[in-house]
Amino acid sequence: MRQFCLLALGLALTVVGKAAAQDTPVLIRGATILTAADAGKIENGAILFENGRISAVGLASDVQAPSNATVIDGTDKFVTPGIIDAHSHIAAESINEGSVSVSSMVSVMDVIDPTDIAIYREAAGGTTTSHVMHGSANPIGGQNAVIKHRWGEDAGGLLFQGAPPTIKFALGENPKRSRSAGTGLPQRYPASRMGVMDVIRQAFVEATEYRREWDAYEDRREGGDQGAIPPRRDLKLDPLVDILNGSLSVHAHSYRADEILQLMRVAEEFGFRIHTFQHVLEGYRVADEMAEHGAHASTFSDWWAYKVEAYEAIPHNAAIMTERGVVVSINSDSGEEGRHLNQEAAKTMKWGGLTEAQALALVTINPAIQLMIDDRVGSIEVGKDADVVLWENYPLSSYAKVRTTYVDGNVVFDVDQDREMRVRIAEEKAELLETLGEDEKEETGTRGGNR
Amino acid sequence: MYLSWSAAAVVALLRVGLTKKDVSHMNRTLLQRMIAGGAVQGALALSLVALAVPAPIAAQYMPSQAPNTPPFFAIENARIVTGTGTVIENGVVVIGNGLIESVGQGVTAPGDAWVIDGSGLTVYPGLFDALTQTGLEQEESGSSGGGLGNPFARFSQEGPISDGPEDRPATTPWLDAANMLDPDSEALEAWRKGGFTNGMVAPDAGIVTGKGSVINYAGNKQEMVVRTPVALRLTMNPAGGFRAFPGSMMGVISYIRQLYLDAGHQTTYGDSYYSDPRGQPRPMYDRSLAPVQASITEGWPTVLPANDVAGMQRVLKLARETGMRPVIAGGYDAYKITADLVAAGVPVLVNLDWPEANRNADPEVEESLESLTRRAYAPTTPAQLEAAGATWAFYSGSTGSPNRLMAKVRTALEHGLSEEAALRALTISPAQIFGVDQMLGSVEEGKIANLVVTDGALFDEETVVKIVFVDGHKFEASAVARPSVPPAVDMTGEWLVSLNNDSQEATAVLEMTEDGTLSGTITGERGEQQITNGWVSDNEFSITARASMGGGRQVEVIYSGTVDGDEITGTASFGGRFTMDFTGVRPTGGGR
Repeated sequence: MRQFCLLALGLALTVVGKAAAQDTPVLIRGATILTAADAGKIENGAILFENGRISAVGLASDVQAPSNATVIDGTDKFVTPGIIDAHSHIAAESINEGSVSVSSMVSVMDVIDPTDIAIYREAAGGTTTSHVMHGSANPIGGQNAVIKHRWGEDAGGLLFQGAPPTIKFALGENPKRSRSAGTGLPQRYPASRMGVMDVIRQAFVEATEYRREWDAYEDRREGGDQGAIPPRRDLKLDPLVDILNGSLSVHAHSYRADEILQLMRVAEEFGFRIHTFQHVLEGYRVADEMAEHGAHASTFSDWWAYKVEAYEAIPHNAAIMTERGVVVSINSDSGEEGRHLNQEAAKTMKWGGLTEAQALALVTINPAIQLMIDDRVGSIEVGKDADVVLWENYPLSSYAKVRTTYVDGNVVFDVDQDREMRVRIAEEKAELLETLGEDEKEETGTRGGNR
Repeated sequence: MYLSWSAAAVVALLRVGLTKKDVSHMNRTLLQRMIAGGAVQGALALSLVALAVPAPIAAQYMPSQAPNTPPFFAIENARIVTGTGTVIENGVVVIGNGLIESVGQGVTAPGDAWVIDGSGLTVYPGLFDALTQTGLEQEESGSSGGGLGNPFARFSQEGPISDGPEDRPATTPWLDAANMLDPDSEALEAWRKGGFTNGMVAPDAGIVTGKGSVINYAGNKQEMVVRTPVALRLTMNPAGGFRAFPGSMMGVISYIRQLYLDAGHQTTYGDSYYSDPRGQPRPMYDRSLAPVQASITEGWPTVLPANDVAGMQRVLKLARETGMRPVIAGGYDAYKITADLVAAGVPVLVNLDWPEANRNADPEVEESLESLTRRAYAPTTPAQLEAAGATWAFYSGSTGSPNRLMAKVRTALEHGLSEEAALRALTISPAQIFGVDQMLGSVEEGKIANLVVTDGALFDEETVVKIVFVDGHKFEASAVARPSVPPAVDMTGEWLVSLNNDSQEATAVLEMTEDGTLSGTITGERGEQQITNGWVSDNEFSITARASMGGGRQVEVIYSGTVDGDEITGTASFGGRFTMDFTGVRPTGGGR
C-alpha cells in the first residue's frame, strides 16, 4: 500500500465555509451595459464592483477604478445583471414529498445538494440565482429555496440570505394523478380538479382553526395566565398560517385558464393572494384577472404540448401578459434550459414584439420582483449585489456566449479558467487514481475521458 | 442495618413457605414482631449461612458457549496494553468473578487461580464495535426488513400507508436491542474469535429504529446485556416514491422535527393534565413519544447516519432544533469539517468499510472527481479526527469479519492514524460515547474482565488472537494458528474431494500465492462455499470456509490436512459440531 501524500492532493479538498468575500475590486470598461434598470442601455459603459456590491456604473469615462482594481477590457462585449431562474429543480436531494396531498411541512432548504454540477453549468450560462422549488405532486407542496450559484460553497453558503420564504402549490394533472400505492391499496385523494381545490380549501379551513387556537393561547398568556399550555405545533399548518398572514408567498404550478381563476377565487375566499403562477401556459386568457388579483406569472418561452393541459399554449403568452400589466418571468424548470435563459427571453422579441429591455427583464428584474429580492439583485444599479455577467456577442441572440459570471463580485465561471480547470481536474484524477493504486487501469484503455 | 436485616428476614420468610405476596402484604411492624418472637429465627439463621458462603461461580453464571471455568485466572509475564496510554511489560492480570481484580507488575496470583503463561503474548482491552447488528436476532431470510438488507424494505413495500407524521411511520423507539438478542448467533462467535468482546447494538429498520444496548459477545440473553438503553437510533431513509409518508429526504427531516415537537408537547400537556385533569381532554397515549422524550431529558446519544458534508451539517442542524444529543455514524467526509464537529461536540462513529469503486459501473464512464476524492480521502478521516481532538470511534459497517476490519484499520494507520488512537477508537472511546467507560474499554482494576490476548501487536497483519475473555470467561480461538514455515507445495488447481468415504463430494478450486495464502471456492452438495481464510505451510494446509446448512443457517467449516503431490488427506470440522474425514485428488496436476 502506498503512503499518502496529502499535500500533493490539495486540490481535492473542497472548500467548505461561509460565502467568500470579494477580495479585489473589479472594473469592466468599454462594454455595452444592459442594466435592466432605469438607466437602460449604456454604450461604452463601465461597471465597478467591490466587496461584493456594485459601487459605480455609467459611461466608461465617468467611472474611476481604485488602484488595486482588476481592470477588464469590455470592448465589443456586453454586461447584464446575473440571470435569475424563477423555477428550478437543481441542487436538491429530493424534490417531491408526493405521499400526501398537503406537504407544506417539508422544505427544499433542508436538502440542498451543493455538489450538483448543474449549479456550475448554469452559472456558465449566466444564471446567478435560482428558485429551487418543491415538485408538483400535491395541491399544496413544500417550501422552496432561493439559492445563489456560489459553486464550491456548502449548502448553507448557497442559500440567498434574506430572501423571503416561498411555497409551492400545484393544480391540474400532476396533483390529481394518484400515487402508485399498489394493487388493492387506496389511491391518494384528490383524483380530479374539483378535488384539488377541495384539498386546498380544506387545508385552509384547518389552518384557520389552528390559527384561532394559537391566538386564544396568546391572548391567555397576555392576560397573565402563565400556566396556559400552548397548542400542539403542527409543521403542516404553520406555513399555511404564514400564507394567511401574508408572510409566505404562494407559487402555484398551473396550466389552464379555469384552474388559474379557481385558485385565485379560493385564495380570495381566505383573504390571501397567489403571488406567482408558474408555467401558466394559458395565462394570456386570464391576464386581466391575474393583474387585478395581483398575481405574477412565470412561464416558458415555447415549451408545450407535452400533456393535454399544455396544448393550448402560444408563444405570445409572455408578451400578452406583460402588456396586460402582469409581472412576467421566463423560467427553465430544467437544468439544461437554465443554461440559456437569455435566449429563451429573446424569443419574446420575435413572438410578441417585446422590446430588448422588456425581454431582458423577463430573466432578471422581473423574477427578482417575483422572489421579492429586487432590492438586492436583478438589475445593474449601485448598491446591488455584484451578480454580473460579461458576454461575448449580444446577449439576446443565439450568438451570445458567457465570458465570465460573477456572484457577489466573485468569479463563479470564466471561460479561460474553465479550460485550465479541465486540465487540472484531469491531472488530479490521475493523481488520485495513482494514490489509490488504480492507475494501471489507465493503460489498459478501459477508461474513457479526456486525458 | 435495619433494612438489610429485614431484607434477610424476607428471604428467610420465603424459605419457610410464605409466598412473596404474603411477605409483601405484611407491614413492617408485623415483620419485626415475627422476628422478635423467634418465629423465623431458624430459617433466618439458615439463610444467613447461605448468604455468607459464596455461591459457586457456575451457579451464578452459565453462558451457553462458555467452557467450565475456574473463578480466577492470572495471566503472567505478559505485555499489557491497558488502553489508558500505559504499557506494562512483564505484567500480571488477575481475573476473578468476571472482573479485572488487579493489573500490574509484581502482582501475586491467588493460589487457586488458573495461571496462564503470557510470555510472548500481549493483553489488550476487549475490542468494542461502536455500531453493529452482531448478536441481534436476524429475521428469517425472505421476509422483509431487518438484517443487513434495505432497512426500509418493510416500510416501503409492505407496511401500512402512512398519510402524515401522525401515523408515526417507521417509528419503533420502544424496541430495545437488549430484548432482541440471539446468544447462539454465529456472528458473535466469529467476531469474538477476532478479539471483539463488545458491541453497541441497535435495531436498524425504520426512521426511529429503537434503543441501542451495549452487549458482551458471550453469555445468555440476560448476561449479554451490559447496559440498556445507551442510545436511540435514527436513520434518514425515506420510504421512497409516493406511496407512504415520508417519501423523500426532506419528508424524513420534517417528520423527525414533528416527532420531537410532539414528544415535548405530550410531556408539557401531560404534566398539566395529570396535575389537574378535571374538565380537560386527556392526552392520547402514543407509545412513540415517551422514549423520544426520554432520549432528550436523559441525554441519550442519538445515532444518525451521515457521510457527506451536507448530511453531517443536516444532523447538526436537526440536533440544534430538537435538542437531541447527536452521534454521527458514517463519517467518510468528516475530515472536511472536523473543526465544526469538534466545536459542536458531536462524536463521530467512523465506518471502517471504506468506500470502494462501484464494481457495476460502466467501464466507459470515467469515475467522477467527487467519487475518487471520497475513496482516496475517507481513510484519512480517522487521522484528521485524531489531530483535531474530536470524539470518535470505529464501527464495523459492512466489513463482515474481524480480519477484513483489521485490514481497514491498517489502511487508516497508513493514512496517518496513530496506533494508540486506533486502539482507543475500538475500546475506550465507544465505551465513553455510550456511557459504559466505568465498566469497559481498558485493562483497569474493577472493570469487567473483557480482554483480548494476542501473540503480537494488535494491528499487525501477522498477529493472531490467542485468547479472548468475556465477563472473565476464557475463550480460545479454535482455528489452527498459521505456522511461519513457507509452503513446500503449491495447492493451486482444481481438487476433487471426497468426504466420509464417498458419502459426499466436493470440488475445490484453489489459488495459492507465493507465501502460501489460499483463496478460492469449494462447491459441494450445499452449494458454493467462499474461502475466508486459508494457508499452506510446509506440506500442511488449513482452509476456512462458510457453508450454508439450510434454513438460512451458516456454519464455518475448517478443512485441515496434508498434501502429498496431487493428493490430500485431512479432517473437516463443521462449526465445531461434527467432523468428517476427507481425501482429495488433483486430476489435472498442479503447480505452476
